[in-house]
Amino acid sequence: MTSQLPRIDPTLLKNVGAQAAVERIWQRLENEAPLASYSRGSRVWALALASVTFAAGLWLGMQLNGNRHEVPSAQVAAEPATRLWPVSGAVKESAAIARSEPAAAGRGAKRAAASGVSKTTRLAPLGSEQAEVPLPAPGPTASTNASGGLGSPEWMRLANLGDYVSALRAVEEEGGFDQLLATATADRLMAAVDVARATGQKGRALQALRRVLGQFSGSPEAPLAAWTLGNMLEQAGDPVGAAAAFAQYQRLSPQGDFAEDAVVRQLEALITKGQADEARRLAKSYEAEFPESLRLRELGKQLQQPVAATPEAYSSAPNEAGTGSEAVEGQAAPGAVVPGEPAVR
Amino acid sequence: MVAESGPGAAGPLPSVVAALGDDQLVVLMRQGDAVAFETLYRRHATFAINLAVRIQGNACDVEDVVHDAFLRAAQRTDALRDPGAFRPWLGSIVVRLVKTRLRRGRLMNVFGIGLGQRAAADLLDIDMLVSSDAGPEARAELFQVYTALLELPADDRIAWTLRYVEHHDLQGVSQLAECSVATAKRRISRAQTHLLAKYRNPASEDDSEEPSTS
Repeated sequence: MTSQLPRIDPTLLKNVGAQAAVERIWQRLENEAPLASYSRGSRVWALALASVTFAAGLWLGMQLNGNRHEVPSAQVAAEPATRLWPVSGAVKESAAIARSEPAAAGRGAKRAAASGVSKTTRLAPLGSEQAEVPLPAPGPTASTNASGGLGSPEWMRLANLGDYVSALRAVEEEGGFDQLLATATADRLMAAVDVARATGQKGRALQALRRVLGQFSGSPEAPLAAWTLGNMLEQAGDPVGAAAAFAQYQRLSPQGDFAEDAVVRQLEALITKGQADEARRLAKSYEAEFPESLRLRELGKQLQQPVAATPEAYSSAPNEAGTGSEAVEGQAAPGAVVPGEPAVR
Repeated sequence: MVAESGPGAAGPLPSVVAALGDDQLVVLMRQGDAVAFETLYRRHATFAINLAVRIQGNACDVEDVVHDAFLRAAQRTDALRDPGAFRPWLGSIVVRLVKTRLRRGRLMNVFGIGLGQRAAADLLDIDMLVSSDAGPEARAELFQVYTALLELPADDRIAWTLRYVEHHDLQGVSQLAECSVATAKRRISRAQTHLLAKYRNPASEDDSEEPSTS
């Protein structure tokens, strides 16, 4: 390693393997009795069947999505997870499109990845939907001021270069974070989120995310902001806020890449905070929307168990991003049949 | 013994089994001993989770990866030549599963049915990587390095991560990545070149107009 790259000190890396995660995985393993004998013959057949199905799905997908390759900008949507280096306006625009509604393509692919089976009936509309993704309209909710472009502030330039510590200093010199939050456009706010997260200013990052969701809820950045907010609140031990943020993601991007994940995370948050009835209602909706989900069975078992906490154990934490839990409307009575058990293997 | 590890069992494992080495546990596991398997699981689960998170750059579906890795390990212990090498063998399974996920995401993109490059597996989650004890500079450095890493092909990214994040020696990298030492070196070198081109040392920001003197 040359002297230019920093040495990554292992002691500064997080130990992610918390006991809770270890236990969750073990429960799944235990239920599947991995040491039980299994038939090699059946594996061969399953592999052959999966290969044929995959090939057929691939062929069909290529047929249905052939015209997507005529739209290079959609492929370029290639903005990395954080904007470290300057990008051209064209790429930025494509990234904005991709952020706004990557649409059912994501869901289809995630389902295919999760189940190993191509669902041709779901893939069918992808080509048309993808081709019809609209450009973000100019206006106060659109990101018309490209990050790092002409007239962008110094902190943006530094952030685009990846120098987040200097970017944070520049933010303070240019009026401070509060002023930035009050005046920045959605894409600058998301860049500010990157700066704040990279420098450990989680509170600032949360503020910026909530600002995006409060003031720019129609922007292409809003779904990603909701998703990121949900992740951060979940990690911070706020299941109520996390559930609200994931619910907001679903509302903003019901066909988005993380739509299924958002439902699952919301369900987990509801279970964690003890709202079993709401969780069951949402689970029924989830089952209807994602019938082949591998996670249904696991969640169904959690719902059958006594809830871990009472609702009173957590106080609702309203925020600018959306308040309270947004349960799916339904009439399921307590003790209703838990979805997933018979349908998923 | 099996009954003791039934559903919901959270108590201590039999001390005799817990004191056994990996090689002995693997032998027991081959005979269908569930307690041996649980002991191995609890001994190495954290390693597997951390490995998957650090290669991916986030914790998305990591529990699925680790679950699948142990499942495969349990079903294929016969393939493990050296029972004492359970940990690196498990690590190689984790690496292979993560690599498959990374490649699958990219393949889906190629065929236009993927999630786009902001795919779940490519979303950097710095909070899952950096300890809360890390200062802002270290955090920003890692953020920058990882963002550049995520741009790399899966093989190069994995090799570099194993070498410089997980701090394995070249032999260990080749074992975990299931390639020759020479291939591991090439991958690490390619990744290093990319990272050097992308990385900007904040300390040298004032001299940014001068050419690099690496």
